[in-house]
Amino acid sequence: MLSRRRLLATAGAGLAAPAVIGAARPQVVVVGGGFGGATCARYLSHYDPRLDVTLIDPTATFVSCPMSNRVIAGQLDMSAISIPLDHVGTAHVRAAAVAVDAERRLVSTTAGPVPYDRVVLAPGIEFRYDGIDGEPHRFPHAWQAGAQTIALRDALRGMRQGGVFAIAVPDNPYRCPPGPYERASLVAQFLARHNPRTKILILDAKDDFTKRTLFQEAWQTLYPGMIEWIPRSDSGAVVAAQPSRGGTPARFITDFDEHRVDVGNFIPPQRAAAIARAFDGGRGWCEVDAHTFESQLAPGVHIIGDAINAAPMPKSAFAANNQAKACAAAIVALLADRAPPAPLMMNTCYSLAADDYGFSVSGVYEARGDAIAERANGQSALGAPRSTRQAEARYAMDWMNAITRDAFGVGDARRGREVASDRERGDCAICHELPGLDASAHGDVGPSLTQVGDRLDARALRQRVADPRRDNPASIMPAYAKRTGFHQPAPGRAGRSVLRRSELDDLTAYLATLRGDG
Amino acid sequence: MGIGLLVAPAVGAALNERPAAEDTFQQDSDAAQRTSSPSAANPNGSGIAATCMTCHHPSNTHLPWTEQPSAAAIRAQAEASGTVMHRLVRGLTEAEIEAVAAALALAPEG
Repeated sequence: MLSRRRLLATAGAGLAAPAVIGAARPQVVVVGGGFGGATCARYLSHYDPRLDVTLIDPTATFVSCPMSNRVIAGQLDMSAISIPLDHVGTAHVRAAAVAVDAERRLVSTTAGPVPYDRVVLAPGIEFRYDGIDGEPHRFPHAWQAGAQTIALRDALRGMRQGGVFAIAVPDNPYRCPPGPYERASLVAQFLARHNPRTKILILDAKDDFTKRTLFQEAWQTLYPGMIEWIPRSDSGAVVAAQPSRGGTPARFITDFDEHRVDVGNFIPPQRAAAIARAFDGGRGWCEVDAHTFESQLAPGVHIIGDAINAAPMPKSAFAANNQAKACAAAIVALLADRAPPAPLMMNTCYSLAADDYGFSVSGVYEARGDAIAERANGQSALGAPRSTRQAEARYAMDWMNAITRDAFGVGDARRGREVASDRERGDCAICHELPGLDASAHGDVGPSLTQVGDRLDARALRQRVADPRRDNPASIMPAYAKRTGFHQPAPGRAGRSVLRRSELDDLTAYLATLRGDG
Repeated sequence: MGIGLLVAPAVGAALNERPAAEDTFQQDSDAAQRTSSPSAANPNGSGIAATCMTCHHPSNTHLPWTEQPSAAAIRAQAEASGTVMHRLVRGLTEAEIEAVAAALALAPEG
């Protein structure tokens, strides 16, 4: 077995400097720090560490729509769905992107223009209230997580006993197709305990929905008589929404009925977010090349996630994550004048009908001609035992953990400490002082790490560990994430990095905790 | 080496508790078209491996990361009726299964 110390000894002497040092690095800009954008930024850097990748997003923290229904139902706190963007590992411009000048290859932001060689837009959706009478915008949508999530949660907590909670659901396509029905289910779980005479109405602008039979089976099993789904053909489409005024209660109005609501959740029809609409051809959703996710209207502009028409892929976090990886691989190939690899993508949408009751639908997708095509799909079985539903609920939470770490690089500091001290992995003490070690137990070739979190932010820490010579060609520190460019790598080590990506995430998280005030 | 890329043994057994009902599954009916698709003709193993990271992570309890699953182990998931992996692996060609196994052997996390 190759000793960790031997590997370091050979790596320190033999690492080749990156080929592009001194040359201009291709600039790739990613707009939007959600599941699609953050994933794309991470994988661009992973697939080609020589790229200069910049993420543009005005916020420091992304708030996840997946699992936000559990917050509304009081099962999770907001902290569980609030994900810091500082571990993505790329430059982060904290500004709002306003427009893309595809001719001049510039992104206009509230902090000034940002040039690019290629840009990836992952801006998500915006709402369309046109065509809906009344004041629908005065009802929380909670379809972009954050303050709206809290508003709906608090409204449900304050709802009168025996009241009516109504959800207005738009026609396809929209973000997270099973989301409204999961929301109804989890709210039912909450209300069954705290307000058991409540009625939940789902007023739907369509006549069917994904996993309908599974949801209806769950409702019958868990909340008999509590949830009523009214499809379009039974006058389910809401055409007007009036908040309460004076003594008049709030109402959701359809073509033939008027429903009094105590808490209303109006989920509006949607379209691509504003910055992407310059590339939607007036259709509301952007058309892209299925192999590269490059806009069909603007060369050099790639668009992923909810803003595109990727049918039959749904508008889901999973789909955005998989599109992001395919897009990143395509961009790396295009910048190197190679043919992009053929994408193969997957999706699984887990839904929770209760905190311990889950089921799922899955699909496999590829590029066929200009379009995305579905190869296979399937969903959980009807009539499955409760243990199966409980298992799928656990899988849903593990999926959330995995995609969060995959997309945002959020590491586990405890595991990172193990990586740092493991002689077969990080072995940081071979060269650096670490907290808790006496002077005889660590080297002094490199600077002390005892307060490194005060000196370097998470991005710089990750970069120093991943490939210190990228920014400092004189560094003698090994590159722990490089997979190529080694001189005479040991047998079995060719093409492999010293640390895995999850280990790099964990180590970065640990190093960031090493602060003077800690 | 665990067989389950997706399903840990204990919960995998739970997912397979399927007395009569099967999960619904539909496959592209045009097999010829499928095997002549760009991905099937030139499978991108590392790209497919990257899709695994969306669900599996070393810190997971129920969907753990499995070290270097063989092609046979991945293929076996197609027969594990009732699981998510059953649905996904049945959407892959033989060449793609071989390619993703090779990619995971070289770079365990894509």
